[in-house]
Amino acid sequence: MRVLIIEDEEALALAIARGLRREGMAVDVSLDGADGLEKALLTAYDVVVLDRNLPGLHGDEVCARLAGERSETRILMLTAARSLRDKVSGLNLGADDYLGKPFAFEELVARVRALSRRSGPARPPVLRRQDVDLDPASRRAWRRNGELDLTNKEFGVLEALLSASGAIVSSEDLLEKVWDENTDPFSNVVRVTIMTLRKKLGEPPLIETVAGAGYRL
Amino acid sequence: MRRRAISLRLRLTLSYGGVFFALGFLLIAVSYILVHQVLVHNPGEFLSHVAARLGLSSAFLESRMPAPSGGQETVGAFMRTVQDQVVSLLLHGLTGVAFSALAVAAVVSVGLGWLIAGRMLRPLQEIALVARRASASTLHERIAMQGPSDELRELADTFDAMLARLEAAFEAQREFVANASHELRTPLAIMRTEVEVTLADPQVTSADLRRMASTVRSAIARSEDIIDKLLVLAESGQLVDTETVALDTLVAEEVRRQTPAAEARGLSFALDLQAAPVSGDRALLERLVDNLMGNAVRYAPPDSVVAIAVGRRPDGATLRVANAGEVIGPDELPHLFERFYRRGTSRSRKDGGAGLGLAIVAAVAQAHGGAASAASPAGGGLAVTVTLPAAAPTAPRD
Repeated sequence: MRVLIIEDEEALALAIARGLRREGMAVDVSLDGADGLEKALLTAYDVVVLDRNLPGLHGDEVCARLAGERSETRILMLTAARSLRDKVSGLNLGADDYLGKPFAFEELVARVRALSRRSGPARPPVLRRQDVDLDPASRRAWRRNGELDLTNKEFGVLEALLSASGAIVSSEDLLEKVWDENTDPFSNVVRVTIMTLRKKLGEPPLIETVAGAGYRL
Repeated sequence: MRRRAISLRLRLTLSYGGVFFALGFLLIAVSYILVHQVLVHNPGEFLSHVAARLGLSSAFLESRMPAPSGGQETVGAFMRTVQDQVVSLLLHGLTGVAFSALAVAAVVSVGLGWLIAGRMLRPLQEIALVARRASASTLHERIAMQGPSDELRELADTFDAMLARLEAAFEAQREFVANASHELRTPLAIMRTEVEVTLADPQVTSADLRRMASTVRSAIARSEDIIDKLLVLAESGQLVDTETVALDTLVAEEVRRQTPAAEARGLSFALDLQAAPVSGDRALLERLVDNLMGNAVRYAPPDSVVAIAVGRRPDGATLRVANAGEVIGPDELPHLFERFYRRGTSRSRKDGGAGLGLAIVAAVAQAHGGAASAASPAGGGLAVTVTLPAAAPTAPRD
């Protein structure tokens, strides 16, 4: 899952990023509105955590642009204004959810997950395909009732493949969904991760390589 | 509403009526006595006057005639008896009419008094109505009484002025609470997120904990700064103690205090301080100088010069603080004094500014009857000029 945090409070942005990364998400951080909007328009983020009161390009404007041009990206607005009117106006701008500061980090994680389920076609809270189950909330995965011990990236790849419901997922898509912007797009991290994931999933093989297109489960 | 024993209106009416009646009675009594005296106490003069008009000699008056009651009496005595009867009839008739007229007039005066008293007292009812309605949410209402500037108008105006002061004080409080609860959310969010994320890490290291503590410490420092500044803003609404303050000395002290922070950034101060006594609240003026210089030190590029000048003018003093930096557009300059205004880069917030420094400068200057203005010199940067009056300041709000 790929998340962008647009928040001008550096300490807060970095803390949220650290927490979300530990939850296995691929997180990018942007400290101002204009830069954040540019990133969000370039990359297909699942969720954008957007501070409303940004200097320069205001969060409202970022939100309106994003909602108009990146409709598959879910927007979670984060703001110090907690009045009902603020919530309503934020949601009317195209935000998908609204969280007032200060917030419980657990709640932020749960909301980001809930939003990501809704990015693209709606997904059930627990993903299942053939004999594989994956629960994004508890970050656990099973095959034939045996629990799998996966790294964050392996987990992310498996989640992306399961979410595609049998469609082909390209390495570029995987790179975009599971890794953050600091990853070299020409590295072979995707191939290596698929390899270790296959090993952990065991027999019979589940992940199929479609030559020239990507992977399928 | 509490029940009153006798309304002021009724009392006024009764007093009018009572006084009118008493004076009327007195008038009738006095005229009765005077008329009586004139008619009764000079009977001889009257008699000779009548005799002269009728051409009767005084001998004739002395001649006897049969009296109606039997026996004999003189013509003069007879005429005197007639005169007494006429006088008595006259006086009786007069007093009868006078008392009837007094009774009618008294009734009319009580009625008119009731109406007039109601009219005169109506402003009091208006004042009472506004006073009864006055609460934290209706303090903007005023009596705004029209009409001649009499005692009641003065009372209403005094009351209005009191409402205005209350409203200003309430507004300052309300703003403080709203701003504090809004502005403290961000440092709170930083602390809470930092602590929750760090503590939720099963493999947390002592380096992580140290980083967390340091983040929390700076968030606390920031909260304290916000509360401090908001309090200054709330207090600057009303000046309490004013004394003569040497602005140049105040600035020199502040320069000493800020020198370490400035030197750390390679900044130097260029000072031009003339003796300039101003009248004001020392604590607030200190905050003004502190914020003005702190702002300059924070935003000046490294290794530049911050120019500080205190000048004396016939009507007061000026303080000018200028720092180098990027050019600020003329349409952005007035916004610099707005609360929580931050320039359009995230740099300012990383530097820990709450966006209140220049708002405090402007508020304190205005509270002293002075002003603050900003200019961006041709080479870029910011020059803020504060003027402060030398004379005793007048209350800004009223």
